[in-house]
Amino acid sequence: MTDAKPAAVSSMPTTGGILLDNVGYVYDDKTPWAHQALENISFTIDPGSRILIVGENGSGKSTLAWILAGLYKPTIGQAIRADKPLVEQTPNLGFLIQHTRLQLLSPTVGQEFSTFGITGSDAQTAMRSMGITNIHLSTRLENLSVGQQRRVGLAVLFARECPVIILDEPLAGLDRQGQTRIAEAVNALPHQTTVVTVTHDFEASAPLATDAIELTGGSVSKVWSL
Amino acid sequence: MKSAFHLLRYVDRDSIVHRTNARTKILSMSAMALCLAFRPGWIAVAGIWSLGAVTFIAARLPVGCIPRFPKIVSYGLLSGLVLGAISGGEPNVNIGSWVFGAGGLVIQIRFSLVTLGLLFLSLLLGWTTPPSELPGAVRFILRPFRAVRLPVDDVVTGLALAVRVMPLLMDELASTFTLWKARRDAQNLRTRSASIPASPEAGTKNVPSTPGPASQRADLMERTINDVIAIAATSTTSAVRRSTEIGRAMRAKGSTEAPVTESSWGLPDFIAAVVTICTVVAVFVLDS
Repeated sequence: MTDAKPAAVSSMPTTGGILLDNVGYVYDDKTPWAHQALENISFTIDPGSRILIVGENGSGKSTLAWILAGLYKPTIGQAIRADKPLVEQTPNLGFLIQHTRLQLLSPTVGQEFSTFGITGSDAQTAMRSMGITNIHLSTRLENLSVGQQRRVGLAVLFARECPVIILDEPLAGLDRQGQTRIAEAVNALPHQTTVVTVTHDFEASAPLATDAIELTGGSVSKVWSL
Repeated sequence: MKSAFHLLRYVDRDSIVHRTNARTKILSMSAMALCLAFRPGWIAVAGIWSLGAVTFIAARLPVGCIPRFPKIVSYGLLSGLVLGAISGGEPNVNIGSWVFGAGGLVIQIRFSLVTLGLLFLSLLLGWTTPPSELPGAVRFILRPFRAVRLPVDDVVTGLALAVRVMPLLMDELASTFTLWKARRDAQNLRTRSASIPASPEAGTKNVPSTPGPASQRADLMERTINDVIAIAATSTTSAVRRSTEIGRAMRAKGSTEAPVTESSWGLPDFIAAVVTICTVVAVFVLDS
């Protein structure tokens, strides 16, 4: 850990924030293929903060993203928000993975919104807020580019009013213009929304956050303000 | 990512089973499968499970590698047993004044044990054999079929691709399934909260009016079916993409042919062959 004292990331519990207390995660636990991906992860993310989690391949950052999204239960330690484990709060934790098409299961953009009970006009509003003006609700999702699919995914999370949004490699595989559009969409999210971005590309993702956490070998090696 | 079912995952150990040639193990498995096809009785079932248990112990495998089946498989097995139990048939068992026809249940138990036994042998092959050795072993075994113009090299190349793609595909499928469960929870929350005053966090704004319970059930069923189709389509697309990528990578290396392991036969192979032959002969003799 560095001597820097970032505003949004700390080791002290904060009301309404996400608390990770001595979190560890072992894949295939209690099998011959057991592999420790994370160990001794402890920090708090304040509500409304924008955090970047960076690290090399295999540093455990994607595993941490899945824990923050409530999709993995820590093997040891606890990951909580508002006194409840994150695994019990998945409907309120928005998660956008790199291969967004795997999670946008509807045929069209409009149907993806309506899956969550979001009406057409509200979907249009959400898309405009994310800077999407050239995609119709009737557009088939497979006809969209990777960047467009991610922005539609973000718009759905925005319309669902998720208080916490986790983005796993949101800029991967995009050209400079695509990265800028995603960054604009993320920055257009309400200021009270907590946004955690997981990436290996610190330079490109820096505009998405105000604080950063670096993982090395499954542990936090550095925390600093941007 | 969180799969509890480890297909084709090698467990690195030094044992006589690990030193046995992949060709011998596949031939032994095939012999047991043929034995079951011709003598599908209790003796063959006992033979398969005995061979599996002896191999498991000889391979010094930890108990932790035995898979935890998904709930749906357990439910499937259980419902099969229940259906078998209510179907009746000989032999009859007297329980007080009640006569229970146990025939269906007995057949169902035997069928389940055969299925699980063959699966267990397949898992044993995966735990004790490096996946890269399998294509070469299959090529060796299928070599005689070249005489009848079977496209052996194509089959082996397909297998080599499958062996490489399988772990990636399993991971992707597990991720998709986990994400789908989270998506379903979010949908359910919105459906539930449509009938109660909006909470600040649940995102209940703009939720349409709630239909009746029967309509909700029908809607849930339709959504689930649509999602299963979508997951299947997504997984298929993903598998094709991965296979194409790996196929191109193999071609870029200069060949799409799988490497052939030409290791010689040794004492472990001899012992495995003797054990298998003894088991097959015992099944045929005792069951005749």
